[in-house]
Amino acid sequence: MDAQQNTLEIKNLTVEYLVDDEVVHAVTGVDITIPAGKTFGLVGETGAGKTTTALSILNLLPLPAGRIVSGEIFVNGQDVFKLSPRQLQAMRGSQVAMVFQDPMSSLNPIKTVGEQIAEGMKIHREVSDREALSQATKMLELVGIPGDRVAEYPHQFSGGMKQRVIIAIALACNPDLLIADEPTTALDVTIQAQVLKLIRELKENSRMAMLMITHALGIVAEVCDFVGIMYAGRIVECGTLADIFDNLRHPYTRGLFDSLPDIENRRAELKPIPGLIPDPMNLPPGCSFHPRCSYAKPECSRDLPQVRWLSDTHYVSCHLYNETAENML
Amino acid sequence: MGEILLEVKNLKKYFHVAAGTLHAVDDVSFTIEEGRTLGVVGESGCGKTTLGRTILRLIEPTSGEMHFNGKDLRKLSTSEMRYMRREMQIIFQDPYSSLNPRKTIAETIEEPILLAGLIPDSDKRFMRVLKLMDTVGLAQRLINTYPHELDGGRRQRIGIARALAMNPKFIVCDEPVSSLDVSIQAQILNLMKTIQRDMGITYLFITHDLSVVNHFSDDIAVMYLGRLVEKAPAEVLFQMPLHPYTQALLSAIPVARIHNRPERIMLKGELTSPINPEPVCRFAARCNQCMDICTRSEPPLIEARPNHFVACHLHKPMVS
Repeated sequence: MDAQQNTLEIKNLTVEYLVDDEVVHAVTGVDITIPAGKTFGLVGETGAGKTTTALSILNLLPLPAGRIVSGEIFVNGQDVFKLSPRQLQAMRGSQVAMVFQDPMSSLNPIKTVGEQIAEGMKIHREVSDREALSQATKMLELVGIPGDRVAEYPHQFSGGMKQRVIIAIALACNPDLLIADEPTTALDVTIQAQVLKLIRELKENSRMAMLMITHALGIVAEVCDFVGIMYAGRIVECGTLADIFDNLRHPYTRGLFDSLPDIENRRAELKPIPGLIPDPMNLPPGCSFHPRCSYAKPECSRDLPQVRWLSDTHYVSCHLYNETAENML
Repeated sequence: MGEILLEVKNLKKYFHVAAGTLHAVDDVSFTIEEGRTLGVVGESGCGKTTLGRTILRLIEPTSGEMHFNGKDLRKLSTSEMRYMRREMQIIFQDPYSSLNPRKTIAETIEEPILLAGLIPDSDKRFMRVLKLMDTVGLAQRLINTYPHELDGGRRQRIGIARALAMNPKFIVCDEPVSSLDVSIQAQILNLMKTIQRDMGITYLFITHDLSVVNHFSDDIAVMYLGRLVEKAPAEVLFQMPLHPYTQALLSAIPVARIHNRPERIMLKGELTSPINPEPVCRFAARCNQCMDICTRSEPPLIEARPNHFVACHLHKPMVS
């Protein structure tokens, strides 16, 4: 596929952290493609490498520990790693915007929300202060907050409202790509429902691509077009929403679904995945999931499974599918 | 129907804050039968955590009664209450901040046994610690590790072992799995169910996660701004919620499937303030079925159907 057609292309990304002279394999060989107007859900548990993947896109890895070992990232066809610091700075907040998990700590407590929304516009688009503030008021209304609250400070807003303000800041420069890192995790369910509705509406009304990082499959089902399941730094299964929810193949994906309580059948027993995620400093040989996998075969502890494409949209990385594309679960 | 283990009557906990009186728990009444689980759900600030702590008198109630095993807890002296807490334990939400970082697993689990003087012999006490570790699925080799060396799931297992050390009858579980990953969450929920089955423990299970509470509880109480607004057996509540808030709450659950997704009821606005609430329905401002009377008087909790309680003007008490 031509790089120009996709808003985001991550190719074979590998990221390591150096901690106390030991190497943490945070992200290994990750590929993600997001066409304009589509949302990609990156799903996984704590420590899977989701946030590291997201931070790599704008070269925001913590230094000096974080290091991009290999791979390429293209935003609108531009190779991010070849950009000068100045060009990268111009991209951050304008072409690519980010929403972080914790609305309480990502706002500046001593600036009004209006100033914070306007800031990006003033930096990236040479608009006057007055023009920026009037735009900020419009952005606030877009995310469902009355425009007359533009001069208020973050402490005057509730958690759900703060997250809306953060979304307004991210959208202020009309980005092509929005990276949302667990945007609703800190919110109550009824407020989460409001914010997800807002995100869905914004998607429908724009060509913005979105990378949604989450641990919750319920949220993926609600807003995403594509899903990547991440485990110990690798994407082990990837496909469209239907591929993953109707036709999942990887034992880890199965385990994630089976761990969730069934809302229709409260007596159904939970089937947790045994064991714990591996230490990223000391990953098991072969497939990282094999010590927890009930389908593990001898080659699983020996060889890294190759990516196998099951359809144009769906791939899995698991030895169960070395010879067959039939569902083995 | 089993014996009633805990009865809470008209429990109130008000906090005095600069802006007025905060009604954290406001006139809450319910009972829990022995060996069952009452789930308490609600969003942040609804008073569920304060409720759990007030029942154990970790926070002194403003008024109301708690009867545990027939004893009036508020009439007990401090030392009697201390003794009583052997039977009433708590598991906290955050396994990262609720353990002493300078104590090993063994010391942490041993501490309550030691303080209660339950097993004076140190060898026997050590055996008890090993037994408890085994019960909660902690490997013996971890006995001398410190909390920072362990992941959230294992830390929560320590919290559970510590609560079990006294052979309690009743445990308040305050969001015990909220900070855990789903695969670990399922492990801990299964463990807590097994413990309940084997030891006949009664749980008050506080959570904001509706799919977890549905899976885990026999009965569910829904709280909103300090009030208990609905209580029913879990399957009844999920099939036929009566309170408009419960209906909206249930419809907001993000369901992990892509077909037959439920219709969502969107609530207007956010929680109003629990400080100096007016004597009207506290949900009225966000309610999509709000009537005249809702902004004039506060609905009491009534039994609308057998064993199904609701505090809403839309419903009338059943005719006996």
